[in-house]
Amino acid sequence: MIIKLQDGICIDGTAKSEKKDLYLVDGVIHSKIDPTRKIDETYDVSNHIVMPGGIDLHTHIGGGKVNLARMFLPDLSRSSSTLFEQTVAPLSSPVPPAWETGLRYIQMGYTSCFEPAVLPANARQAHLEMADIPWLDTGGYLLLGNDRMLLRWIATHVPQAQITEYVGWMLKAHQCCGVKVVNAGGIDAFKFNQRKLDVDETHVGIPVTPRSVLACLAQAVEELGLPHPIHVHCSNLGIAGNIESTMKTLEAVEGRRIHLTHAQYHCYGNTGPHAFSSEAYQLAEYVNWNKHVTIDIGQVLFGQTVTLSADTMHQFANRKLAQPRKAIFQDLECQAGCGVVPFRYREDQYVHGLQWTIGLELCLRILDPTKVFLTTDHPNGGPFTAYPHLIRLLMSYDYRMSIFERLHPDVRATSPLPSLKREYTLEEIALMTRKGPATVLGLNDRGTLESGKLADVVVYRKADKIDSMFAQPELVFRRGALVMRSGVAVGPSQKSTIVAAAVSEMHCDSHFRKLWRQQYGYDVALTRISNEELLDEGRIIEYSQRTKNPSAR
Amino acid sequence: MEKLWSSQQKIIPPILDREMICSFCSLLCDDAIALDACPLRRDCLHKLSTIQPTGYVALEQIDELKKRIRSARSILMTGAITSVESARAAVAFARSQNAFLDFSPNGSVIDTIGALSSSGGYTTTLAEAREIAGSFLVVGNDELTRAFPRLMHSLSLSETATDARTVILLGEFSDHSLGVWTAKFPNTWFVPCDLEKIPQALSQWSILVSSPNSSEAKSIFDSLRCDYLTVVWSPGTLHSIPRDLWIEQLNQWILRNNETRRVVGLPLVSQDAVFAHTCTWLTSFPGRIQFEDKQARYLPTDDYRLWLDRYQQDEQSLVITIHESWSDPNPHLVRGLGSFRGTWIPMDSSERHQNRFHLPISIPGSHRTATMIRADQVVMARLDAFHKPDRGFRTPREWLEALSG
Repeated sequence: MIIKLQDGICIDGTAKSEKKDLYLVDGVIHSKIDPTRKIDETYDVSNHIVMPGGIDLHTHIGGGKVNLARMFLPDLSRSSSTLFEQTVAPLSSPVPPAWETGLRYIQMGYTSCFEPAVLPANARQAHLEMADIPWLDTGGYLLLGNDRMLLRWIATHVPQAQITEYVGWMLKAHQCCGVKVVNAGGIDAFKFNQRKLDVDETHVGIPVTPRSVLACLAQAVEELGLPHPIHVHCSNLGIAGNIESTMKTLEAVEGRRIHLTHAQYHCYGNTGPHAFSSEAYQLAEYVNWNKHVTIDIGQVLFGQTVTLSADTMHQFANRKLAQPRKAIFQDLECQAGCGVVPFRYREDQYVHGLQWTIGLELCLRILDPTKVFLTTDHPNGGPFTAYPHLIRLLMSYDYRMSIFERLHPDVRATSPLPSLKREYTLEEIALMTRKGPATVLGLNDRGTLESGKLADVVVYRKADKIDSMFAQPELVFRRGALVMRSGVAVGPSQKSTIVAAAVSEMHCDSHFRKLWRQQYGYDVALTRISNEELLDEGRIIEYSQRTKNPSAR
Repeated sequence: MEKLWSSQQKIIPPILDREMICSFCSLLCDDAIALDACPLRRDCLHKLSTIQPTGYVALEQIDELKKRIRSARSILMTGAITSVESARAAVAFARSQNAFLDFSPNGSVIDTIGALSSSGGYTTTLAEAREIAGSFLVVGNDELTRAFPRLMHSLSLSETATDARTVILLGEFSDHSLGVWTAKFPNTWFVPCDLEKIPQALSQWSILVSSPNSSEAKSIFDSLRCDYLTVVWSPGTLHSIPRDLWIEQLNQWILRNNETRRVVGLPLVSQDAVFAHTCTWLTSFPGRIQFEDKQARYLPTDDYRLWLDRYQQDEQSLVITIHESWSDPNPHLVRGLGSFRGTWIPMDSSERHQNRFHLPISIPGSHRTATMIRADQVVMARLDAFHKPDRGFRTPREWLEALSG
């Protein structure tokens, strides 16, 4: 099957943006083909912009806490009280069902999405849910920073090789592609009634510090050769003055690669009229000057949403801010936790307004768009359907100022946002939403329009109103097949589960089996997800690859 | 007449393989040796050995059923679904036929979810509770012990030795329950309490510890103040009380106690909770859904009884019951269907059916590989069949696809 996209403006941020023809040949992009070959379909895409499929590397789309939030909030279904300018039809709920997640993403031209917090005990459910999300390739990061067996090993200084082997085994057994650390050691400490755990503070139940956990896991990820660095949610999420622990977290990995997630929530100072201020400058400078770190934003949007996180320590503290006034929490299987707190961001509220500016500040201050990625930490900061709106905020100074003017007066008086006049280009947007995430995830088969890449391609009708343009592409292709035309689904597509390639296989000896049974009360066989099981669900398994050693040390 | 299915063979009781997971209750135990002592397992194995399905399902009948489905004024799908695979099939079928779904046979799962969504809560899981609970406060009645006979083993740190932690049985327990708990946890205390009044009683510790024996009262009081007190209960075993309010009050008590210390609930659900979970990720709602133009409308206070009342006399209405469980079908449902004038398509493994449209189904986790959820609603396990699945039984998914094809 050969499809020709004729005369489109091809933009991927890597090559020069220009009008040219593109060929989708048997699911793969070609810039040229043998002129004697028969073209099956031709689309005239002059006056259109052609981009690779979007990649969301941090979006809560499947697994226990996502489903718990759905169960917990039937009253928020069908509500659409989002205050940002909607160019995409609102979601039926802050946490929509699986099919709607797939539909809304593909309607915006996103083709690969990653669940950032897969609890090992719940990994099977996460994969089952993601199997029911149509059109998207999916993958997950495994929660390991509060695994009690691992914490005990770190506390007793077992050889790093044992930790590395265990991490590799866990990834393979639970079919994940990355390692997630949420409030390292803090979730477990909360089970022992410890209400705070700073980077160098010791867990009351097990003598480890977040620093030691981060260092061990970052080293394991390096030794395993995983393409994606440890994906870290820092110790003091949302707390005024947390920039200090965020910087300590970045130092804790000692130059090894780290991805700091929803960074907006982790760069607060404690100065100013409300003892809550922006320290985005400090974090942005660190990212600009250090190769070992990438971040995603976790931008907040005004309106109703629900926050869901493994970080029970901080979610429990935030329960008093819940709106509607209810919250639910779980301590989970000696591995992590879960807190679901509904939340409404208000533009007339000082802290919420400042959070909105901080997310944008980070994007505008970080110079390299392949180091900062567009996320709302869906649904925590707001729905993923806000991406077209966020892109417009980044590309238009006047537009963001028009919203800035509506914020709390103290935000307007203190935020440096008006001084940041940078406007993103389409090339930079392509890098931050396609090429950048593909690179940091080791997805070497996608993210650009180069020959040989997967033909996950999006065609946007060129428009002055950039959010409208990104809200509804004219055509979306997956593996070279048209799946969406003007927002209407025209065909299904093969889905893939992306897992880490070539992780070391721990020898599952009788000692380990015994330890596992002691910890969990069942055999390791119960937890392990085979390739056949994923294939039974109708999914292909793809491997993320690390092409070179990008150690930044 | 071409047969789609026929079987006269008796099913042979299985021998559990060492690595098999037992699917007879939602604890999903996988320790074969210890399981030999499980009374529930013994009963289920006996039941399995007596299943002897009879009858035929012919292609003509399927065609007739398809016609009836097409012409039905209203369709109800109900019963007990215990596997992800069947839940997916039931939701897809209901969506395509604009049917009403209610797979919470005694309402306990829906009530639990309803109570959680109104008041919130703080829960834990089996491994977590086993590892760090200071004491267990087991609230309920003997039905909890009967429904989860291996619970005390699952909560114990050691399979063979006794556990030094304290268990307080609060509610309406018999000497038998006290005995089985004491065998594993010698420090087991029984505090009788009217089941309905437990949440209020917990708010007034002093009532609980007003035993005339002061040292006993002190022990109980100390146990309730321990680190990580774990409150064990099961919504499915709460009958004849306003369950939703009871659960809400208990959850609020647990949440309040976490202001300064750690207290968690361990609600143990039955196997049919897997339907609620699967249905939620597919539709946003845990069940009791009316599909209209393929869109789900959540009707949490409507149930199958309301539907039956409305359509009892309507000959053009249709009910599909899917019963995937080892337990007996909901007697209220069976009674209600006794006088139903429309078409009833039962799917189950029972041999007792006289219904001409009976579609025999395999049992998940026994006859066929299936994905089920553990009682604490966190671990999903894939359970391999320990019977050859080629005995003529079909899965609900296969039948539903045949009916909608």
